[in-house]
Amino acid sequence: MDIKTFKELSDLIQEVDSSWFLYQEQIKKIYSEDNYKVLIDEFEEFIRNIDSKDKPKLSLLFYSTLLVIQYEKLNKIADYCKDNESLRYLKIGLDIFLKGKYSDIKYEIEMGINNYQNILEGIDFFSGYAGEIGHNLSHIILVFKLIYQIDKKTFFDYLKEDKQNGIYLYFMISPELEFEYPNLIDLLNSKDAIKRNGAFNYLMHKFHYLVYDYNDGDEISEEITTELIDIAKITEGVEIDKRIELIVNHIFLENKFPDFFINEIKNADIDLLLKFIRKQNHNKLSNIIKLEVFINHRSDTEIQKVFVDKMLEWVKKWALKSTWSKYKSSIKDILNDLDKDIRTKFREDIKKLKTNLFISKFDLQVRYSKFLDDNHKTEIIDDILSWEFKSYDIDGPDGDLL
Amino acid sequence: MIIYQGSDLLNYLEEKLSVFSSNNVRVIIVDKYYHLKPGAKRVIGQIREILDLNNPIIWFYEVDKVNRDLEYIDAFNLINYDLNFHDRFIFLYDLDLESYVLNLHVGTSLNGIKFYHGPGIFNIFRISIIDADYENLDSIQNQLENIYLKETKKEKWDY
Repeated sequence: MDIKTFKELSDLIQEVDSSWFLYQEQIKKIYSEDNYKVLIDEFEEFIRNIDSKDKPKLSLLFYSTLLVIQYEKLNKIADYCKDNESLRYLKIGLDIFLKGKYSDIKYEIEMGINNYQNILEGIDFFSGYAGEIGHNLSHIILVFKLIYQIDKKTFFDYLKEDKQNGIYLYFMISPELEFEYPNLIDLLNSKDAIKRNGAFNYLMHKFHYLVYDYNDGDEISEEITTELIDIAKITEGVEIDKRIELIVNHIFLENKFPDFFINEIKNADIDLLLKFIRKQNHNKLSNIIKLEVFINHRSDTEIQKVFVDKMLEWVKKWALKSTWSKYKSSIKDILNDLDKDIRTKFREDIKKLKTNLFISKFDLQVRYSKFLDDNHKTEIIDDILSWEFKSYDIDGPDGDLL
Repeated sequence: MIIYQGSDLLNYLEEKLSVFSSNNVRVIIVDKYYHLKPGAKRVIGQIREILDLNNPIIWFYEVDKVNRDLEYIDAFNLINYDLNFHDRFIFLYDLDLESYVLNLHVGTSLNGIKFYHGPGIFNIFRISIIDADYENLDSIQNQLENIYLKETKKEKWDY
């Protein structure tokens, strides 16, 4: 093992654009050896005898490639090298790598998460691509696993340093390593929205698995109860604004959630709640419907107003008959539970909207595309206007049913 | 069908699509990751060539990594619509017959397909014709068509 070995490894890094495991034979050839004890001893000797500021980088190169060829012996490697000087350099190298300061071995990743207003939803989308990260960054992921095996605190310290968040999310999405929940509290309180939502994704992972086949009315198993207690304990440790953000994001993404989320909604400051509710993508009817959870557990009417505003906007801009037919009975139920004044105002707005549509025979002939779009909305508006609500809401001599 | 080699995927597409080469078809792709990595480009190139396509492929996505309009693709963002599934599809719609003539389910993002390591190295990949009784197919196609019509102000899968 000499400096030439590392020049070859460095060149190989430029070549790898897929799974590192496809390059095992090439790595073995460069080392002319695959026995981890021999290689670690040789490297320790090599690093002791060179005078170079590149020791951290060389250590990162060495351990990442060693682990690729001997990944099944990761635990044994951890035992063997845990007190080595080179491991100290490896940690420094990893830190520099995560800060993107190595021009030749940096990693860059575009995850598309910021396309989503609900970061938790973006992470859910990204989870479908975690496998690709697992391939492309398998060498660095293995280094993280090695550090986890040796010293869990250091593992989390470095995970926090991952500015790109690709490796961070890999561990938060893929339940490969079983973290003790208290380790997540710092991450749930992170200033970085992707970090805290990522940690929340991890926290809720087992709960989702346990309730996957659970239906309303089923007996809650002891395992679910224990899990709920654990989640509640950790959530208590999250700052209130971040806690509400995560709970709101979660409710908009998932249909099943712990009961104590409802208490949080009931007790939350309305402005805080509205801040995170307004951040959601309300162009989707399936999201507008989620407002019911909040409406049902708040006596104030602000969220009811958000609901009717968003409904009106949806009819104006995003109305689709196929979507409407799927959700209209839920919309009717929600409208039924709104305060009468709010419902009356909504009905007036909807009526007014109808008068502004281009749906006449004239429109059909002279502005066909506008006609097509607006014709779409007519059926939806007519549906809404035909609905009858609670009998005690009948008002006025014209017998308007609201 | 499980595909182990890039050439097998191209052969599969050739086999399934070539019968429609003289039809007047539209190709509709649903893959929420609109990235057009080399693998996806190659698949698209192959589809266009087999079908001798003279209209843009329609691509429905949620995350756009292309950031520019391509002549051969009409791309539509699903992020504001209620299509809550992660699956990927390739549909062939015959404009003269006014019906779908081929429905393929794709087992990974088209962007996850890698050809460029040579024939020996290829991610395992699944592609299959969707069974006629596939539960949500009608609903998915109906919603996609609605979105296309709304976005383009057209009357059918026309161009």
